[in-house]
Amino acid sequence: MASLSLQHIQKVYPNGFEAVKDFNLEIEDKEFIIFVGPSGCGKSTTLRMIAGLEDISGGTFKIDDKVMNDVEPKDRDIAMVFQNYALYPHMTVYDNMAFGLKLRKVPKPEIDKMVKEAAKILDLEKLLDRKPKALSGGQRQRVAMGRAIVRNPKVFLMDEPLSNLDAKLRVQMRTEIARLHQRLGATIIYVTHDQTEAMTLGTRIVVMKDGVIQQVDSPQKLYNEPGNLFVAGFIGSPQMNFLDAECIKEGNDIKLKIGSYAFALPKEKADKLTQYVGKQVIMGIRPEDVYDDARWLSEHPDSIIEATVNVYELLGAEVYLYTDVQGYKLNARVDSHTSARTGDKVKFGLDVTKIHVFDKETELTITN
Amino acid sequence: MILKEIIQKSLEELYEITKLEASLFLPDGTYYAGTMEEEENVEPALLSFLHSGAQFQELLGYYLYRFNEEEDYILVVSGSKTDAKVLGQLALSQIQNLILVDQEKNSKDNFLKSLMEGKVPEAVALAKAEKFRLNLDEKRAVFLIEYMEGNEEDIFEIIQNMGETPEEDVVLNIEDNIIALIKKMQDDEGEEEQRELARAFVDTINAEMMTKVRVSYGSCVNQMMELARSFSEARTALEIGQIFYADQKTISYQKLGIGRLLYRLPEELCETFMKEVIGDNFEGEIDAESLGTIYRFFENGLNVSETARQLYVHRNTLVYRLEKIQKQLGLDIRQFDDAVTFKIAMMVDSYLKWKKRQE
Repeated sequence: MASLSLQHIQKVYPNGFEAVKDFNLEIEDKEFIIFVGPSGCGKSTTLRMIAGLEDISGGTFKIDDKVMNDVEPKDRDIAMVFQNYALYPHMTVYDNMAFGLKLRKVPKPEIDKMVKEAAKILDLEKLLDRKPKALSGGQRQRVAMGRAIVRNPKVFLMDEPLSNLDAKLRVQMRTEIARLHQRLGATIIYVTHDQTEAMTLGTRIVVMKDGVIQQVDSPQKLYNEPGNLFVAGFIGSPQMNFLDAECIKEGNDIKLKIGSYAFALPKEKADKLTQYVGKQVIMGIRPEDVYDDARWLSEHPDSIIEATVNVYELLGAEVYLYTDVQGYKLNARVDSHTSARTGDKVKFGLDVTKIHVFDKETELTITN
Repeated sequence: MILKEIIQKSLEELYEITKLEASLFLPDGTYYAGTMEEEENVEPALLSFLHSGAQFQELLGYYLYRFNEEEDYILVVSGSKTDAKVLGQLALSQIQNLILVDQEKNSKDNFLKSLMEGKVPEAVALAKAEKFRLNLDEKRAVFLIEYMEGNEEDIFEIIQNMGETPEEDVVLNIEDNIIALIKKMQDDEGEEEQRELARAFVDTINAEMMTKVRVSYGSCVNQMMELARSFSEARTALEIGQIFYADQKTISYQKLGIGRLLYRLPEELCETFMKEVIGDNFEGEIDAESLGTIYRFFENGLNVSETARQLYVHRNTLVYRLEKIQKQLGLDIRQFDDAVTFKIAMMVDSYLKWKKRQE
């Protein structure tokens, strides 16, 4: 069993800098939870406080209902995998994985059993006699994980373990880590700055900014129902479009006015904007919810706007169009068969059911 | 590996080859290393041998050997095999040689430690370098590894085993909880490689030992006689790092900046500076959000747009925050001179707080 409880956790450095502010989170046993956010947001600091490698300035941290604030790191039954791990170059894979257990004076027969079990989980059995220089990048990464797995800890903490790998290998290793979680059945807390990695790996994601939790949710909910402007902009690639809009009322309809265009919103969204009529808000729409498809445009004539293409980027199966709409920047992700090119005037349709509206002052989402 | 582990490994290998069970004891009869089963009762034979003062005896089924006068270890060999006596003599010779090599290494380590501390005159250093076959003109750098908890021998092992060329690097104990590494650097390696290595040390020790650790490093030097400078720099970086860069686990001497200067200032001068520039209540003046904004603003070289982008706030929001700070402190940190003044004030404040904690 390994459930974790973080209550009002705070980290303040001696120079007064508050790296983590009032962090509250309950993590269930066997959960795979991700901390994600931009560099400097406090995610690694929080992870290190869980490990005991940073002192907790305030709040209570528990594992299985036992307070851990003053428990030494080595007594917390936690294993860590770091970004800048170093395998011992002159040791075999077996010895690399056994090394930490040897330091702990674990008996040899037990070390042998634990190393072989971990090697089986990681598909390293046939590589135990090899040295690191004879391994591929992915194999080395698995050995690094093996060093943590042999300890059979309650909790695994992973701090950007894939950051030093090339893009292709990162994608491959992500799948392996997900598979590893299923095989181990352990609680894993994983830190990354890469929102794609977070979205593909975690069952629950903690989005952080400036030491504060912005939202804790499943990947799907974070994507479809972001709680504020930051989460909306951070999650999803390419980034959500944000346009300053005026909330107006035309007859009985509440609409968002951008330039000369006014978009009527679905009732469930419009009802939430009643008190914003006459005020400025921020309209958000994801590039994939901007259509140039002729059939879509004919079926949704009220959603049409005209734009000028500034940049055309072909990515293979899709195209990113960076456009201008009466001085507003609007990016669209469209099919690669689009005829739009740089300099062209194009018609787009905005899927109004996918529009998010944010309060301009508080930056909180109004329409979710 | 430390001597005890080397001897243990040697006795284990001996057992693998010859099936000879042997254990080494200290002069007071304490077990040191070996392959004898725990149930073996060597105590009566051992005690008798210790009191006898003999160099060799056969007692109660065991062969007991005393080492050279200086070390006085006792080797006990189980006499169940027919050639146990000869194999015991072989083991004795092997272990004595291992101890001699270790003594020489210690002597070399002591020399390098004294050299780093600037205690060895050049002429003596040159002679000793020749004796220990040390290359005088080799690029090296000193790393200091400060760990909070854990067995020093374990940290030694980790550091030694991490090296690509462990025979060319030297790991030394400096004082409680601080280990020095004299690392051979390649000609094309510099601060960037040092930084990566320092990070690797931190992450590996964190992961293996689950203990807090900080690593500092001095400049690369091309002459062995300059090691003292690299060591001194690493030492300074470690001290100053805990004052001004407490959130960082790796500290480079070259990146200390004005921290090096402020560290030397008298306390009274610092207090006067704070009163004159900021006022009496520095702490109460700035809230956490503003402090975070300021740190990010400075990190981005006073660039408002980039800072706003990294903070995920609108540019106007950032400008509002900076104007708020200006009203509180009378310093417009968008202007270079005021930014420098404020930066120094923050560092002086950290220094004074650190000084109070030391008292």
